[in-house]
Amino acid sequence: MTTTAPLAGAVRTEPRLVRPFFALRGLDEALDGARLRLFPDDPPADGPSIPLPPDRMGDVEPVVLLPSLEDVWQRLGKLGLRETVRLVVTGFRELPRLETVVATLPESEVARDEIHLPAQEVRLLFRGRRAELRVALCLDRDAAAAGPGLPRWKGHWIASKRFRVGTTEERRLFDVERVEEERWTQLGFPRETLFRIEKVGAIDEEDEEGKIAVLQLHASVYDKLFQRQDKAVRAAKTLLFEHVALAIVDAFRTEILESEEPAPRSVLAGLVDRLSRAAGSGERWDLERLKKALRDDDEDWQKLRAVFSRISKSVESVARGF
Amino acid sequence: MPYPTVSSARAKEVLLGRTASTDVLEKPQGPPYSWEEKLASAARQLEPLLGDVESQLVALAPVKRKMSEAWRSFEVSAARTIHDAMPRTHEALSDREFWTWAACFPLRDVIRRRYAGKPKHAPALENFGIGSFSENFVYRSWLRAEICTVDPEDGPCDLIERGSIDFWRSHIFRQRYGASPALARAFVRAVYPHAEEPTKATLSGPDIRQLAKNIRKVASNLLVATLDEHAAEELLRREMTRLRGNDGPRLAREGTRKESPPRSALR
Repeated sequence: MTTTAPLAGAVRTEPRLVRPFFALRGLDEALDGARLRLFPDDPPADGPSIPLPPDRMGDVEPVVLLPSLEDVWQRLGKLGLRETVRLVVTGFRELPRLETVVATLPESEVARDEIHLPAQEVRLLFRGRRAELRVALCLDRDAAAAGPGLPRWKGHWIASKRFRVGTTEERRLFDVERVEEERWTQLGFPRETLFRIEKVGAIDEEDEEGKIAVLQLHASVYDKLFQRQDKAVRAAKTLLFEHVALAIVDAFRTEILESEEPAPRSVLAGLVDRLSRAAGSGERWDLERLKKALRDDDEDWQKLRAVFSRISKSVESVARGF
Repeated sequence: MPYPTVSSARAKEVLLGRTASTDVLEKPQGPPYSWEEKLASAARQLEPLLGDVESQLVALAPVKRKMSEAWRSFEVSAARTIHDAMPRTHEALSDREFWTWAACFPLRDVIRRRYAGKPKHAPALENFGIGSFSENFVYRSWLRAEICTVDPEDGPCDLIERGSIDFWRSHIFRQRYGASPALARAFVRAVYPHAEEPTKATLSGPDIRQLAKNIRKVASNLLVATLDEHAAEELLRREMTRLRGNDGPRLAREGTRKESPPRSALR
């Protein structure tokens, strides 16, 4: 029997990128008001996330609605970039991986309220459970003479907005599986093993959407924890999930130690982000510190346990649904 | 017309021998295609190549097998063969469970033999895409060929021959910039510029990693999809110059100093 214990709030953050183009002075926000409409009868969405079930992905008729860019073009003119900038829409498909241009429009065609994207091309990118469209003002060719603080190479973007379309169900990182005594023996474990972590996914893979692990829990413990709701059981669950969270990190120790930088939107990226937010003021957690704790730093390992203790309370609160 | 799929959980049961059932789930999207026939044919084409490699390696110690040039060459052939066996476009290609099926059913023995290590040691499940989808041998073989295909009529270009397996895995497949075929090709050319020496890198392992890191940073301000072949080459040329200009390239010696294994974190 399997049940699912969602790890609460794999919250996505959208950090603001610190960019080298200081001379743009706020132009990078020019497309913040862009919206995307996926079907003629749907209202346009601000994004960045637009939920859409998989069975509708292949029917989209996407239209981009732009804010007024008149002032933007004038400012680009003063910066000497007006002739080289285009409005570009790109699409990203997770599987098979592909990032490609969907539309390129000069200024003269951008004055329209609505930019109808080629539906067939977008639908090819929208195969699967999630995809991304990105609207940007970017250089159409090199501007090598551009002054300091300005974009100068083809592809450099001035302003950009992403729309992530598709399934947005809450990230469920691990399943919980009830394991009878005999099964432990079959798995090669001693009788009365309390729990085991089975790895089934990747912790450092971009947009990994599946579960990364299965918590195999001894049947007697499972029954006590998930069939009773009293205070003692809740406290026991909190402790258990703290151990489980650490055990999951330990199970993926090799992958974490080999990571140079967490893949975007990976479980590892989310974990590092959560550690940072849960640690409290004065304590900074990043990948390097996590690695240090996993390698050989006892003090950091103890602190990691403490931070997980804070995180596991939220895990427990969500698992209360059992 | 349906295409075959299998979930990771079920595939794992099959690979570990916990079930004898070969039932697969068929999903009813896309045009008709002879999946079983085409991929079974690909497997048959790869069998003699596997035999050739195995007979070359029979005298080598197990650890050298992993590093063998013969396996690299086999993987290039596998990439071409698998790419050729797939349709140009199809809904199935966007379904992880299709690729899991391809690895666990028609091409299972190919993967088993490719990753056969010590006796009685089963190949890691990752090679079937279980545990880490991007490691699915069938998918990454196909992807390598797809990236190297500029004109579908011509098939993959000679770039497919260049670079080690680990290079493609670490610096192309696992990188967001690798989703832009032009940029991926430029990266391969920059590191492995000589067609006649497809495994000779111009940079050391640490410098390749630094180059990848630099490209990632640059790509955060760039719409990589807008780069055509020329612009992508120019980008790599600038970054290679910058890399050489900072500290100079390290000695071109592949591989890194191996870290001591960490002691168990369970305390």
